[in-house]
Amino acid sequence: MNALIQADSLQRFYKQRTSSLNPFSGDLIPAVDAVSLTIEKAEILGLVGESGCGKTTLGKLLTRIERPTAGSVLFQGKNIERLGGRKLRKFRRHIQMIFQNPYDSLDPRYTIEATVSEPLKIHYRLTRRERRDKTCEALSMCGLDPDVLIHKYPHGLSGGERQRISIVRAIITSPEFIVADEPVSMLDVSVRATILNLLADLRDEHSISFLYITHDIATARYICDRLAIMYLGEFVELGTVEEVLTKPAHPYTKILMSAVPEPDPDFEGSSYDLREIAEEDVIPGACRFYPRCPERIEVCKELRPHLTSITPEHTVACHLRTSLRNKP
Amino acid sequence: MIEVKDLTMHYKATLGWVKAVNDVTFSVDKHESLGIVGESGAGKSSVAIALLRILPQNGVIRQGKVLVDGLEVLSLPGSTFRKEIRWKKISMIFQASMDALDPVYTVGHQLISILRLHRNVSKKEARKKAEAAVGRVDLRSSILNSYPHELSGGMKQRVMIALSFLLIQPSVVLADEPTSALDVLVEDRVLKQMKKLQGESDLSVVHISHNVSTILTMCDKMAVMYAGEFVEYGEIRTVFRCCAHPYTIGLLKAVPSLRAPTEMLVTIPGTPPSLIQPPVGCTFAPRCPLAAPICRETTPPIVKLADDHWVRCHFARDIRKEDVHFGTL
Amino acid sequence: MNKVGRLFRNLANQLGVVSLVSVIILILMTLAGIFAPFFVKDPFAISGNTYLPPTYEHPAGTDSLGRDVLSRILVGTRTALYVGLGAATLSSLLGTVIGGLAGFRGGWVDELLSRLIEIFLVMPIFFLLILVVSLFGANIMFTVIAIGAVTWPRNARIMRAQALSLKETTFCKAAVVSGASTSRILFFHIIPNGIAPVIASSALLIGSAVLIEAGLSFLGLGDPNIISWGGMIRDGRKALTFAPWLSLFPGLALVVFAAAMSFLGDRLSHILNPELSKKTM
Repeated sequence: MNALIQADSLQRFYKQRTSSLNPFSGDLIPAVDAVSLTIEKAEILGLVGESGCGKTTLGKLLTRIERPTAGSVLFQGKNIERLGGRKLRKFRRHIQMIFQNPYDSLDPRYTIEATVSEPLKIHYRLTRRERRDKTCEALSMCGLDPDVLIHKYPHGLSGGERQRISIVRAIITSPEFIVADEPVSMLDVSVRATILNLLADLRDEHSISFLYITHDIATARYICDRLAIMYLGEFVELGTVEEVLTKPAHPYTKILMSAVPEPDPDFEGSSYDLREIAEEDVIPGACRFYPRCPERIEVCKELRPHLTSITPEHTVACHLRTSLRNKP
Repeated sequence: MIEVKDLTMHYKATLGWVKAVNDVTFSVDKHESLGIVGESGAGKSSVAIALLRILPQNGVIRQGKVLVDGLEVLSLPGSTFRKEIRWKKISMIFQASMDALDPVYTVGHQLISILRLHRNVSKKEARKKAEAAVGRVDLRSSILNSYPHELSGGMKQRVMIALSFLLIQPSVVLADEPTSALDVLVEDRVLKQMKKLQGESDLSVVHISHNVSTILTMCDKMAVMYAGEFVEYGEIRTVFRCCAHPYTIGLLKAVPSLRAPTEMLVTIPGTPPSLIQPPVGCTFAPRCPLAAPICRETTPPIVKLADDHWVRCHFARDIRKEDVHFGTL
Repeated sequence: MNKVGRLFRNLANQLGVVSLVSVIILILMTLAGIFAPFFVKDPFAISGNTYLPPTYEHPAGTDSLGRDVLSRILVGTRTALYVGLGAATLSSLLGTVIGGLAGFRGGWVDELLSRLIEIFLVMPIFFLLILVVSLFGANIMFTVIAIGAVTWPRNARIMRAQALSLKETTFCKAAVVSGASTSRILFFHIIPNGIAPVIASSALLIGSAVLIEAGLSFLGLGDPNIISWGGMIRDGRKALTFAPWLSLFPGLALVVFAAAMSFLGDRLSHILNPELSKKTM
């Protein structure tokens, strides 16, 4: 059976001009470099990394906001990476996106009803009545009171409410897959659980799959089924949440985890210290993490590691793990 | 050290007075750090603004006493405060401090000129001090010759920490969300640096953040702020173990953990109240699962639970963490 | 009804005294221009009473052909309104759509349209109008179209800048992800949210369009079949020494109209622009 989403060797390069005079100069910066992943139905895959690692770009590639420079994306077995124009727009009811900023996510000139029902107007031919019914249904599904909200404007609503409405807008065409890009980062701590619990409910009760992009590994632990750790455009570790968080294999994962403070005054922080480097000097052909890795060995400078399994549910791109595994 | 008593500050808005800070009282000794935790709109940044006396045009300090090393500073004339207190006895570091560096001058030039503006030192001496200071935040002294845009966010913020913690040689440092704009790994490093500097000096640090975990791991004392007032205050381990205010309990239960067994995260329903017309009685009552009629009528008293712990709640003595249940959606 | 009342009071407060007065004056002039000619004398009626000074019968006097000056001024108001509103509407429609498309689409579309904007931006209005008149004859409609066709670049630039910043907003990105077409996003999200400074600029344009047309008529290149204030000033030139009211009154009307429009437009800019810089968080 086909996985819901299957991405193969996705690549997205950006050209960065090196000379201000020559418009044709430029280095190719790989924002996403040969990333492959699968997402099943009713699954939440967490994508964790720091800013600049390419996680947002990967989200944009899967939702086809941007086109990959190489690689393929299969949705329910069909290629979507080359869709364009009208076909792409029509396809959009299957894959949706939730964004980070709830305060900017709703057009201030429209009522909640108008905003939420816009996808219906785009994709279906329904009567006004039918649209209103579907809107109310979707609002209730996300724990909101339709009668109170449909006539309201965004400026009267809190960040948490606005984000929930963005989610309503995203699910109204019954998509199978949603990319959630840092959906709770800009919300107060006391309301984050609402959103996170809602996403989990949508997975459990409506079989919607999510790509949950975040820099906060603790929230990823809370709702994700599997976890991918991303560094400078590549996956360095991928596996179930339990596997990755209880037995982190990649040095970067270990450092990331130790940098997250626990809500406990007696929590002893990490003793890890990332090497400081003046510029992200990536040695071509070497492991991307080599310049900063505290556990690096000789081979790391010469050969780029690929994702290899250490258990069926857990892959890691690191020479240390693979060489240790191969030790007799 | 710094002692604050009954600090109250309001803003005038078109619809009325925004009661941003009400009766805030705390003290921070030498070598000590206080963490002020609260969510957006709680008034934490307003406390910093009031202490530094950098109020906007429509801000008014209604009452309060602030003693820095025994000297009352709120009643000083503005010019005296500017010359002798701000950036001398009290320094600050904000979330956007790293962007406060002027892009057309080198980092070194800026640090040196700021230092010479506030202290009587020669250029050479200032340079030496600057080199020493950036060294203590683990930056190479060559950084002084760089321009701000050549440095990463974390590096810039560390430069600002070197400035406000060390170069200025203050008694008190106010840090308002100093690491919120930084990535996790960078934040971890910067916080470690801050903690190290705290330990090595006589400073009193007031650390403001919305991140409960940061405060719990960094500070000695904690104040929980809601709707313009402190609802719980005390030594950090005491507050953590015996927290008695429902808001504090809710806040702690809303934070996901990476290591503890997974539990359903809690949501505190509703939204913070309007600061122009705060509710009668307890400001948290509309959202509190334990609210009783008395909570909606009378302002809760400050109940001392221990020498180093007080709570603003009618039922402070009876509340236990396990009894407080919030919803999950 | 209360909502409307509060809206008006709010507006009045924001406008300030000068522009409020300007608005009132403009409204009065508009009403006068539309309705008064029904009540006043025929502006084309030639009579023998030439060069009469202002009297009760002819409050603004009569001109060289004995026509009532006041009625001519009032009919001239209609011309001014036609020219002003016509040019402003054309200019803002063209500018908004072209600028919005350029800013939103970016890429080669933006490159192409930006070059187009630049080409039209350097065209000198007056010379173009003289060219139009010499090629097609003096016709008020051509004048309006020509003014609109030359002034749209300014609005296009404004709208393009708005579109560039608005397309980065989350709700526009959400509309893209929802499958909205470019025209949908442009007309439902970008333009409604970005049009405020264009409106302010158009208000100023009404004033300048009227002045341009007046200048044209003053030079004798105006439409001879239309009564225009500029034309009236021209006609009054030869009688300046003995019948100054012939140029004075239409001149006054022109100044009042242009000044009022200018104050209003300026104030609108202040109201609409700083709010915008607040809204963009």
